[in-house]
Amino acid sequence: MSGASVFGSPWGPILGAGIVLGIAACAGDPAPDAEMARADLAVSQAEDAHAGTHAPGPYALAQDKLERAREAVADGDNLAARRLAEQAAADAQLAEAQARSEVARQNAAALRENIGTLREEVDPRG
Amino acid sequence: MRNRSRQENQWRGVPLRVAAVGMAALVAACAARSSASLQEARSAVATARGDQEVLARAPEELLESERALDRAESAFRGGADQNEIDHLAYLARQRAVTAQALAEERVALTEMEVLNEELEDELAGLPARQTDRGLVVTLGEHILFDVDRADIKAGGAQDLARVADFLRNNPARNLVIEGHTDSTASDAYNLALSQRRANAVEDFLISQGVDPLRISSRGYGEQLPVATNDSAAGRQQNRRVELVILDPGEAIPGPRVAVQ
Repeated sequence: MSGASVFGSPWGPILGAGIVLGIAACAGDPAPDAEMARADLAVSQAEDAHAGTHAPGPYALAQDKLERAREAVADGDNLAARRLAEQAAADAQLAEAQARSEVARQNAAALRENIGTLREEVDPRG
Repeated sequence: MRNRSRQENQWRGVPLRVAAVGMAALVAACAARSSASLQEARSAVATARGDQEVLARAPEELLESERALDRAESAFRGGADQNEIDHLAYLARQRAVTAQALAEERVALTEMEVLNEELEDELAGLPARQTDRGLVVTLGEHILFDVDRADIKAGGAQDLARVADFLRNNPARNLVIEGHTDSTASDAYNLALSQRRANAVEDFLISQGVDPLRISSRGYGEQLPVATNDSAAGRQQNRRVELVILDPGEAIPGPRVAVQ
């Protein structure tokens, strides 16, 4: 172990990280099966929550990205497919949450209104 | 000393040149990367973190968004490429906005609970009592039906209309309609009569816009008296229809079993 090696120098770790990142990008990414399954599930849950009606923006994004993820898998671009699938899941979860929120708010508003109406029916004097 | 320094210089030369080239490439890459997506993510997470309702009602989702932001920041500091940074930043941003939507939903649901309590008070005009089976509205046969008729009387219709209102406003609550008779006439006759009466009430509620899937109507005949059958008053109490409004989300249970 003579003298200085590249990893003893100040540039060592930075170069090391660069090499590792470079290798990671170049090596074949595994097929993103888990991410695709998660995205599928998230989109179907969003659909169950009527996201198409109440959160159409993020829902459409989720569907589009899921479709593009499938195409990327078919093209053998697993890195792009993984990212698209992860984003599709995030978009679908947002769509589901926004749809549920919208439905809950509408229900609460309707209930508030109906209580007011009921009260009038029972006692019109208020 | 001289030998060692020559040896050190020999070993230093090659890796340092490679390191210099590598660093130059990295520096060039760093200079070209943008933190715009990261700024958006930071902003979204800060907004969520600053929202009292998010802190109170969606703390786990907020934590997830903060972790996602950390991953994006690490990628940026660690020299990841623009696509990876943008990707991680996007995930963090979506998680933060999701936390806000979840908090909003929970606020609305809490309000629904409060409103439902108020609505139950509105049923106070009806003979309703809270039991372990649910909210039970008991309507005497004489209120609902004329003698020997299967259709609903006017007074009974008013009461049932209010139950229908309640059910329409509370779509998560299901209903079990129970027909009961006194012990006059045979078991079989009473069973059939009580089922017909329960069905008539169900038909009426459906005509008022309640989803039939939410309703189950059952005849119990004389099996479940609430009073003695030895007196006229007791028999009248037994001749009744019970509308059991289940708790929100509760599925319709199986038929009750009479204790012999």
